[in-house]
Amino acid sequence: MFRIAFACYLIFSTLPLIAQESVLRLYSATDISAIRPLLHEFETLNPEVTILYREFNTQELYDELLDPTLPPPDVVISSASDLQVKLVNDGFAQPIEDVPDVSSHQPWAQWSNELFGFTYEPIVFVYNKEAFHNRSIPHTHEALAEQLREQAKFYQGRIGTYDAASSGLGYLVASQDEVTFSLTGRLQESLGRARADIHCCTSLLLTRLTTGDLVFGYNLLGSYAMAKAMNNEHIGVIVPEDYALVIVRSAFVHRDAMEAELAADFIAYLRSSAGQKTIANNTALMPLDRTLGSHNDPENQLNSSTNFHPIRLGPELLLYLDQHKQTQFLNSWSQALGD
Amino acid sequence: MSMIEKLLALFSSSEEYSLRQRMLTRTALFMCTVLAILSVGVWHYANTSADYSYDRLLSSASVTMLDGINVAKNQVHIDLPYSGFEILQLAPDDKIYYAIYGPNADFLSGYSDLPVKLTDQKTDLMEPHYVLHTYKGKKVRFIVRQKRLSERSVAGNVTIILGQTTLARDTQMRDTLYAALTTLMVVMGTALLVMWIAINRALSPLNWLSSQLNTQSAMDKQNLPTTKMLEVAPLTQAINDYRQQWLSALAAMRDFIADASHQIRTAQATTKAQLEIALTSDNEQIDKNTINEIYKDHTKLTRLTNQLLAHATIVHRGDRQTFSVLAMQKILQDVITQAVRDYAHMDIEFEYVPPLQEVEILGDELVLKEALRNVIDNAVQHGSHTLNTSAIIRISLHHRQENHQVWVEDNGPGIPENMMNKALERFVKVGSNTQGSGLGLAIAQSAALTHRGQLSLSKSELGGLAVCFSFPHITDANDV
Repeated sequence: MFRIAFACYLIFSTLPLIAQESVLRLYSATDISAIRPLLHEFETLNPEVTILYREFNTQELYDELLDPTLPPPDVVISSASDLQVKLVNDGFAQPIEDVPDVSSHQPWAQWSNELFGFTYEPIVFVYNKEAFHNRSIPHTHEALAEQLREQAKFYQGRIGTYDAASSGLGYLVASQDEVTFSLTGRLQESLGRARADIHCCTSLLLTRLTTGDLVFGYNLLGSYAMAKAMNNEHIGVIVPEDYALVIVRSAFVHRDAMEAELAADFIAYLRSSAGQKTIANNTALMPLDRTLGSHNDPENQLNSSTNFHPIRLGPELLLYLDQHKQTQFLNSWSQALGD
Repeated sequence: MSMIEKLLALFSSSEEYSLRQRMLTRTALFMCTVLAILSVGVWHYANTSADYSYDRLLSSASVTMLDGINVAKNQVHIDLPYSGFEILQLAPDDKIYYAIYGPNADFLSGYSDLPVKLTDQKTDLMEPHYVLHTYKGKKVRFIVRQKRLSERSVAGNVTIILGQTTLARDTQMRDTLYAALTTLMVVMGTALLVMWIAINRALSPLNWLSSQLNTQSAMDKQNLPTTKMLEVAPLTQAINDYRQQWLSALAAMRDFIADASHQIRTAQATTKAQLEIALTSDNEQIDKNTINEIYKDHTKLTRLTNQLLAHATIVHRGDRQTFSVLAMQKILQDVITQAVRDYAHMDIEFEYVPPLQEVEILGDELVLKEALRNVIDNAVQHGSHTLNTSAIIRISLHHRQENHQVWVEDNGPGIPENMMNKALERFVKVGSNTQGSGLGLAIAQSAALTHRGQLSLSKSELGGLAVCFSFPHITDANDV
C-alpha cells in the first residue's frame, strides 16, 4: 500500500563554507516545488542560514518522528493536521513565543503555543474540461452524489480520490468529511459503486486528470490543484459551494531541535506578512491571510461565499487517531469504496 | 509571629516615638497578617474552584466517551464520540491523554503508558476519582471512571482513564487568586488610608491645644477658647483649672511678699532709728532704757520674721498635702508643754481639758503644731495678767459627731464681734495690743484650711477670745 518515499536532500545556496553558518533542518510533507520560494526568501533574509529540506509523505513523516532513523529536525511541517496535533500532544514539540497572529479571527489556526498553521488550502473538486464539455459540472457534494447515481456509466472507473488508508492527508479529509457532512456515507458508497480510483497523492491524481484517464477528482488538495490548473488548460477546479473543508498546513519546532531559535524565527516568518505575501504570490500554497488571495486563483474562488470549514488545530483531531476508531473508519471506508 | 513580636519590641523599646507612626505601623502589620491569612484562604479557594470547574469538564468528557464503549459481536466495541473531545476543547490549549481498559484490565485503546494505576477491578467503583500525575514532563489531571458491561459474552467493568494538562486550570486559578488578592489589597490600602486620615483628625486637637498654649503667656488670665469637641473639653477645662490654681497661688505669694517686706522694713527701720538715737546721744554711757527699747523692737522683729517663715512653710506644705494620721492629744501635750516652758517667767495659768476618747485626724504634724503655737502665743499676748489675777489659757479637745474641735480660750479683753472676721486677715491687728505681728491667727487659719477644716472665733466664757479649730473625721477627710 505504502508508496516508496521519495526522500531527497536539497541543499540550497552554496554549501556551508563559513564556520558560523547554521543549518536549519526542515522535515516536511510539502512538495518541494510548492514551498521553494519561501525557503529562498528566508535564506535571503538570513544569509548565514542554510536550509536542509527533506520531503516526506505525511504518514512517513509521522512514522519517522516516532521512530527516528535520521537526526532530529528543527521544524516539522505537514498538512495532516491530525498527525501534527498528535505529535504535539505527545510532546514532540516545544513551545515558542512571539509568533505573529496572521489574523485575530483565526484561533483555529494555532494550538497552544506549539503548533502554528500558515496556509489555508480548501479541499476541492477537479474535473477534466474536455470530458465535461456540454455537461453540467457538480458544484456541491449533493449534486455529485446525484450525478454518480444518475450518470453511473459516465463516472464508472473515471473518478479518483485520495487513499485514506495510505495517506495521512487522505485519512484526515475523509474522516473530517464524515464529521462535517451527514451524507458522506452515501457519497462514499456511490464512489465505491463507480469504482473510484484511489491514490496516495494529489500529484498523481492531477496527472491522470490531465491525461483524461480520470474525468473527476473528489477531495483533492486545492492548492496543488489550482497551481496545476493555472498551467494546464485540460483541468478545472471547483470549490464546492455547499461546504469546503480547509486544510491548515502547520509547523512546529521539534523538541530536540538543534537550532530552536532559528526554527522559531522560520515559523514566525511563515506567519509574517512577508511570508504570507510570498505564499500568495509565488508558491502553489495558499496563504492563511485570506485578504491576500492567491495568484493561482484567477476566479477568486477562495473569497467566494462558500461555506469554508477549516479543520481546527486542536486535540479533538486525536479522536480519529484512536486505534479502534481508525480501524473501524478504514473498514467502513474500504467496504464502501469496495476494494 | 516571633518576627512581628520582635518588630513590636523594637518599636516599643525606643523612648520617644510618634503616636501616628506607631499606630499606622501596627495597623499595617496587623493588616499584613490578616492579608497573609486571607491569602492562604483565597489560594485554597482558587485552587478548589479551578479544580471544581475543570474536573467537571473531565467528568462529562469521560461520561461521553464511556457512552461510545459497548459490546458488539461478543467484543468490547469502542467508538469514541467526537463530542467527548469537543468538551475538553473548552480548555483550548490543554493536551489530552486517555486509555481504555477492558474487564480483565487488558489495554484496549489510547495511551498504554499512563502513570495511573488501575484500581481493583472487583470493587465496583461507581464514583470516579481524580489524580494528579506528571506525564510527558507535564502536570496532568486524570479522571478514572468505570462502566459496567453486562452482556453474556463480556461482563465486567471497562475503565477509562482520561487526563488533561493543567494549563487552563492553572490560569483560572491564578486569575481568581490575583483578582481576589487585588480586591483584598485595595480594601486594605483603603483601610490604611482611612486610618491615616482618622489618626490625623484625632490628633489635630493636640496640635490645636499646643498652638493655643504657645501663643498665650503662662501668666495669661484668659481661659483657653471653648471647644465643641466633647472629648477635648475636659482637657481644656483641666488646663484652665490648673492654670487658675497656679495663678491664685502666685497672686497669694505676691501679696504675701509685698506685705512681708513692708512689715520687715518697718520693724527694721524702727530698730535702726533706736540705734541711731542711742549712737547720737551725747552720753558716753548708753542708757539702759534705750537698750531695753531696742531689745523690745528686736524681739518684735525676730518674732515677725519667724512667723512669716512659719506662714510661708505652712502655705507651702499645705500645697503638697503630705498628710498622715495624727494623735491629737499627743500633739496638744507637746505644744502645751513647750508653751508652759517658754512662758514660765510669766504669770499664766494653762488649763488642758482632754477629750473623752482618742482623737485622730489626718494632717501635717509640723503645720498643726505651728498653728496651735501661734494661737497660744496670741492668747498669751492678748491675755490679761493684771496684778491681782493671773491670765488663764484653756486648751480643750472635743470629739464631736460632725468633727473634731480644738479650743483655745483666754480671759483677755477679746475681740468685738464685728471685728472677728477682720482679725483672721494677715497683718491686721485688732485691739490695743501693738506687740503682735498680726500673723498668728492668719497662720492658724491657713493651717485649718489646708486640713480641710475651719477656724472660727467667738466669745469665750472666760471672757476673752475663743479660737476653735475644727477638723473633719479621718473617713470624711478621705472622701473629699
